[in-house]
Amino acid sequence: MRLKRLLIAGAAAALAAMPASAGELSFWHAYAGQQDKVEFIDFALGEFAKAHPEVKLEVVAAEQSAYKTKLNTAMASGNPPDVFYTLPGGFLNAFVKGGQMYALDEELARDGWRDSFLESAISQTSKDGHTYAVPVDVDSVVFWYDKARFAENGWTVPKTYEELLALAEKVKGEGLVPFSLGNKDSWPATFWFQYLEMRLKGSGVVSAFVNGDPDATLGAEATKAMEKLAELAKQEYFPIGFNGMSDQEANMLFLNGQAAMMLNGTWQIGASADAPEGFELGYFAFPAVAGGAGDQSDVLAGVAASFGVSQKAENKADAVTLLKFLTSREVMTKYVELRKTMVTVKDATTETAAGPVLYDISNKLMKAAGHLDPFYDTAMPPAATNIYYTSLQGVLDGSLPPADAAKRIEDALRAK
Amino acid sequence: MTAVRRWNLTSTIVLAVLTAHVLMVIFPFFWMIYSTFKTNREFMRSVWSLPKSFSLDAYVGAWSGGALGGYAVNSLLIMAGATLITVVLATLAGFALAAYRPRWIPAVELSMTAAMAIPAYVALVPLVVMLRGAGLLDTHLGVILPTAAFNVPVSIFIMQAFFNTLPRDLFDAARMDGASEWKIFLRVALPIARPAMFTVAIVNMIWVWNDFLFPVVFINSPSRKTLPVGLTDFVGEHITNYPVMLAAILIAAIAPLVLFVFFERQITAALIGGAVKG
Amino acid sequence: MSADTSFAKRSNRAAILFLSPALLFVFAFVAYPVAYAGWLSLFRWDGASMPVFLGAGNFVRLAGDAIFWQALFRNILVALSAIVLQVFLALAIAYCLVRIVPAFSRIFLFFYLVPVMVSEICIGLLWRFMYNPYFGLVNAGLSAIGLGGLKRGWLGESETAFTAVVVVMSFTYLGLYVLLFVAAVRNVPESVYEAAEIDGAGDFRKFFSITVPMVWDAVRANSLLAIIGSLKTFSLVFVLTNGGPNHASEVVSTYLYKMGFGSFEMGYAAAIGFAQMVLTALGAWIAFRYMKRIGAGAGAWS
Repeated sequence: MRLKRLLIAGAAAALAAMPASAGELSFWHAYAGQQDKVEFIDFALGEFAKAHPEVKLEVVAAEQSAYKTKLNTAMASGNPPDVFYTLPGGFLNAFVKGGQMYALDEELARDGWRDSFLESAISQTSKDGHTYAVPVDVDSVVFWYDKARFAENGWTVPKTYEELLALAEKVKGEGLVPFSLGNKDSWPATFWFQYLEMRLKGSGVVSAFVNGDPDATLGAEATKAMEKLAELAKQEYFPIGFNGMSDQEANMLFLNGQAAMMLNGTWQIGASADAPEGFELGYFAFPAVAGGAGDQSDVLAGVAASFGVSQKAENKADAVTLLKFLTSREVMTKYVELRKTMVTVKDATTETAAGPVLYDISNKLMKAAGHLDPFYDTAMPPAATNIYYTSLQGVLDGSLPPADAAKRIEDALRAK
Repeated sequence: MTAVRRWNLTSTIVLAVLTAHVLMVIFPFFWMIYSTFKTNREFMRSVWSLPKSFSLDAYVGAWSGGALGGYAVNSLLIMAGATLITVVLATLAGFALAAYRPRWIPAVELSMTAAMAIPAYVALVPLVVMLRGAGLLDTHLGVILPTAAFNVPVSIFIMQAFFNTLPRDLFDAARMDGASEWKIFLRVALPIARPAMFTVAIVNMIWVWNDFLFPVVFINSPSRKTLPVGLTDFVGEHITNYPVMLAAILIAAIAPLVLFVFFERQITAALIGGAVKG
Repeated sequence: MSADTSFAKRSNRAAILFLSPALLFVFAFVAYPVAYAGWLSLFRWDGASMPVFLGAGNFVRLAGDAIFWQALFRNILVALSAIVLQVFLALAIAYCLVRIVPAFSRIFLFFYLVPVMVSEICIGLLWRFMYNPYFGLVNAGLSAIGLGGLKRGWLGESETAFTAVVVVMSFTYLGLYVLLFVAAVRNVPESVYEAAEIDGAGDFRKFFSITVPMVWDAVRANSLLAIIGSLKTFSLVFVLTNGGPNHASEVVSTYLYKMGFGSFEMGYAAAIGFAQMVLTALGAWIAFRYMKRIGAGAGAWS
């Protein structure tokens, strides 16, 4: 009798495991919406099929914002995909907190897989000593400008914040917008705040909150940074109506020469592909802020995307095989070549694949940086990110006093 | 039907005002069409300017960049299925709400109003759970059924409004002749309701055709994607090739426009054939 | 008397028969989501962990959430603007098309429907460019007619962002109502107009004293449609301003989306959704009933 019951239970368990038995894997990603993204994933999955014909992938692709809705719905309805694309930081941590992510520690320890990643990158997909996803690409933020135009006007690259402001004043005098900014989706202005906070107080401020450091604080520097930001807006160094302009519109102003500079991520290289004749894209680091306590060489750079495995995945071995393949140096070098984006895998951002500008940023600016501070908005818990976004918009349009904004963000970061 | 009206000053003024208005309303469409002939570089340089050369690259890009033909077939299937269900159910129910007044009718109206008011984002997770349970996730039917269910209440009210305009004696006369209620619906109400049904059908087609949320969440397989979902293949976060994107949008908009041209004649015919004389 | 009760019985049965397919179908797909939203609204849940029971906590928070109430107020403004700028304007246009320039009605109707059929992604993109403070046509147009002083960053300023979005909505959805009204206006019998013409009524009077009362049921239905659509409006706000700057153009749906899918506060989002549904349904139903009374009054008067 008991044996029979055991047998039934065993059969039931076997049946339950059937659907995702060995060799089958669902894989969701957000490499859609752009030619370069599609080219990359087609290449990677094509190669994977050749190398691992025994693994049958059920691939689901969606464009970034639709992807988030899809993935969150799948999670919330209790049926996440086996392997999936996820943002690092707060987005991933919400899933980790819910016990939805499979810790990859053992697999990473084997065959030097962990060592193939930049340590600064893998820390952004780790929580409390466990790694829950493998990081893919890295974006860093710098000032972009048109070299030809700067030369023509006799403008020089500023080394200090004062010089930057002086240059802005000069540009404004010419009837041009000093800094292009399209802040409708709120993330573009975060770069300004974060760099000012990094220069004034130092790197790792938000990471300290995320890691549960009891001494974590934005400090009085946050108010100061917000004040500087409000001042920039008041001086009309940003475009008119920037809070309602998209990043793409801001990019048009920049490429068409109506704006002189733009603080933006390394994706600006791809976004400048259709610049008018004679446009020569150059970059410079966020300048030093006098009297700032931070390491003035620090660079804002963070992981933009990662891949994780669901705790519920039946077929974790094949899931790991897929991740290992996707983060292999060959695939990642191709990623750099197709997308002109840096990757988290060591030595994959080669000069030939990256092109001169990106390679320079990767090899000089970032190598020389004291710290690489990941994007605040990605690192924070999602609820805090929303408050961070709206507070910045409020400070910039003058409806929210800088001190209040700093306090709201600090409170949101403290909330559990 | 309408007597030929003498052309006068009012007609001229009205025509001028309407023409100006309509030009503003359809400007997007013109802009979209001529922009598709530009290169992305041209577009970035000046959003409004007319194309310098006549380049069809955008169409090539749009057609090869996504499986637009396949998406269109999926959109058509889902549109046809959902519209058919909605029109049938809404006609039956709209007739009942207009023709009979039992005391519990306001309760039905209130609950239908509530059903219309459900925010789709709140319904996503429970619908996914339901559809998965029924094995309908990632199928056309899995999009058709909830889409129809969400559109039926509004459509009922449109049908009810139409049936309310019909004179009661029309039904009473049939009743006197001993016709059953079902016969009255079938023989009297339905033939007259054709224009209203076409209207409901068109409105639903437009909604279903453009619907994004349900298909994007309920469909996983690339081969079952609908057009609006397929269009997001061209909408990048940082880099976008505008002419290609607009060409894709244009291709997607052509099907319903053609359908409309086709159905507009049907509606007009139905109206002329079935109008009620007061 | 007995004939009356037998008809009452018969009509009761017929009503059940005709209504039940629609009701059962809608109920099957709507009942569970509503129950689920109601249940979820009692919890704090990030969509991944175990839900934490809060009782009425989310609703208490909602009651004190100024952003929610402002968003709801904006939804009401959208609804009012839709009734005037979409429903009534469309009725006037439909009247003109059918009665004044019938020869052009088909082509105009087609043109009015174009924006309804073009994807909202495109409409949003176009209007972003229209409003662009640097190369947009809105500011250029103002300069051209000597009103350069009115130039602004329309979508980016708290004072104008919401109005700018409402204008786009009016342009975009108008055609749908024109379509719905053309059928209704065509159905008004010619003889009624002829009688009025003998009395020397002009188009203005004919419109208000004949067309409006005669198609009042369609006005009611379309207003209901507009109210519901306005209270649920999402896409255009999302594409044009994303509810910004700093919530200045936030509507309930965009707020709900940000809470549920942006902030991972699924429980609170469910509470928002539940409140939105109840308030929308009540508002729409009251408006619908109230308009019935006006309609009855208008009908008697004409």
